[in-house]
Amino acid sequence: MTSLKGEELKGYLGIDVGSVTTKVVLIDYDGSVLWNSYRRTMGQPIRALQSAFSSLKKDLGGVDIRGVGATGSGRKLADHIAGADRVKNEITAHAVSAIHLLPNVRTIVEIGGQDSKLILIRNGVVTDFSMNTVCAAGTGSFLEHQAARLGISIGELGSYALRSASPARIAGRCTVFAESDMIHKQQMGHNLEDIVAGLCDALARNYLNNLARGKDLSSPIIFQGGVAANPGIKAAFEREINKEFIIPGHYPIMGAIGAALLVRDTKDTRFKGLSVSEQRLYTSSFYCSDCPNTCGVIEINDSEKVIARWGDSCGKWANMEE
Amino acid sequence: MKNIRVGIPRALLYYRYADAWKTFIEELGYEVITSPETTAGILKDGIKKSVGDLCLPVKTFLGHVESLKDSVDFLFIPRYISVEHDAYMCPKILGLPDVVRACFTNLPRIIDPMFNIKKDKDNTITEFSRQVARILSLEPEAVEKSFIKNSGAGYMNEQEEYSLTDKKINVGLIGRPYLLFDRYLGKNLFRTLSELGANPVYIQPSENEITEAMTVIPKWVYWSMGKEVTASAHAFFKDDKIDGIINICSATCGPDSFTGDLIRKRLNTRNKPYMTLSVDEHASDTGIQTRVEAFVDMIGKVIV
Ligand code: SF4
Ligand code: SF4
Repeated sequence: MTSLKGEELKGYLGIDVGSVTTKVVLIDYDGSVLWNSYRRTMGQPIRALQSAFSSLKKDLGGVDIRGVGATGSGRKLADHIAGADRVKNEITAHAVSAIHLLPNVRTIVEIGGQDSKLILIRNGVVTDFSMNTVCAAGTGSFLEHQAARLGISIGELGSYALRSASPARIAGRCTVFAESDMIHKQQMGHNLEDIVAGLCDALARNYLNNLARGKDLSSPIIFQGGVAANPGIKAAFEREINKEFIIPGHYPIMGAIGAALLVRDTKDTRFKGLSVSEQRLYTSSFYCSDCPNTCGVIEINDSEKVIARWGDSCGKWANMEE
Repeated sequence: MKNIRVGIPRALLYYRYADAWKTFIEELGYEVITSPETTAGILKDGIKKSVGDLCLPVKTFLGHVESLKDSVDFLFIPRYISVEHDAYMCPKILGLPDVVRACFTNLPRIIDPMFNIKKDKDNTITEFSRQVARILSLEPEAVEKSFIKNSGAGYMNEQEEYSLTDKKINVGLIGRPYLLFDRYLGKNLFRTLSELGANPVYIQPSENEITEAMTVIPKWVYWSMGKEVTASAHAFFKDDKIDGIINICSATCGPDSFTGDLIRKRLNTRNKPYMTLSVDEHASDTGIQTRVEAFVDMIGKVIV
């Protein structure tokens, strides 16, 4: 890849494929973000990744990508499609970027679309973490759903919450309860601001109950993930535990930044090139019936050819040569 | 003559007594059929059959009963109440034969002898054998002789060879054997760890280790397996070669939440990384994989 006009832009790519959103960033060696993209996965992670790659190409022209890191629940898929030099879990990736940004960080609160995490850091290394993937009551999807039900956009949620003088007390143990409790409060005549603020409190309380029980949330605390966009939640957390929550500028893409930071010393990247955005890629799946495990095997196809397979517990499909 | 077949579900106490039970029953002249390893399908069947509030391992047990019931003449589901004088089995295990009867119609006959050391220590085995003999119309003395002869055989699982290494990261695994060694329920932790370059370690604590752990923990644990889990945890926290500990438990298990609490409060869990993985039928494999990977990273102190 040589560029006609002088020095080509060099960088490291971080890919975070989550179930709700797909994030791609390009950073330089020092970790500054040169370019980023944040889009909905919409159940089609390949499409999301390909469209991110084509806008990267459109925005920057030729780029010399020296390393690729993949994270998120779809990290394996991202690896198979783009060719990653490191495939890292989200917890480590989030910790890496937060520590890079603020070396003395001690607590990371991360709330994304579908899950939430708490990571404790001491002296620059992770010492404890917890993660909630089962309960939706503390995540972005829940907030979004409730905002829609109240007839306000997710972006407005925060300003509504901040205008409340006395937040309504909403039961936040689970999505179903919270929803019926909110309806009840509405019917009792609480105003929208108080209900929204109450919702933010419920989410914060729910997070603290589920993830932080018995843990020492000491400052500095970094708050990242898509939900950090909402100043109502930040305020609710600060009210609840009486400590400042710092929101980094790149809060929604911190996982991707972490993945990119981890590949800065790559020698020969496995990256397949931005042209993967032009391939006709699609996934298919089947159930293997060769043994009682009946594994769901996932395949990525390029036109008619299978380029990757996984999901089998025994590895017989993953290792098959085409 | 066609063999008479006795089915043993591959779940719960199977992971402790399988070998003893198998040789015992075979010696009595029967063919033993065990259900296959747990799969998604077996668990699904078990969930379908369950009524009320059952924990994951018991639901799984029901799935194994389902997979066996039409191909055997008897089901061997002994009622283990206590195997030592100062502790009981979990209430869900005590009531297992009743749960199975309540959840199924058209079952083969269940062989459900009671094993209860707390009731009459010296006659436990005699009584157990007498009940087996009655159901199968055999001579009680012969049954007793065979049971005693075979009772030494434990469950030999392939993982038991997992022991300490000098080089790698050693991760101590604690949990009930029917979760840890059931590759489906236990999310194949042994393999996952090995693939991540860590070495999984499992121990079956000795009498002495259990007694020692119980002196550290002021509250005596009344559940047999809970005692073992606590004692392994104690041994791992003391052992400098163990770099981190993972406790795998069932999300809706009463005894596990009790032992989990004890471990957190009474043992020095701050001296090394410790993580509880609680599994239920909704636990996603990716979620578990992510936690285990992050745990290994944490021990290895991955930094930029
Ligand atoms: S992929 Fe392997 S483990 Fe899975 S069902 Fe097929 S043979 Fe069994
Ligand atoms: S100890 Fe827990 S997991 Fe085991 S049978 Fe009892 S409730 Fe179920």
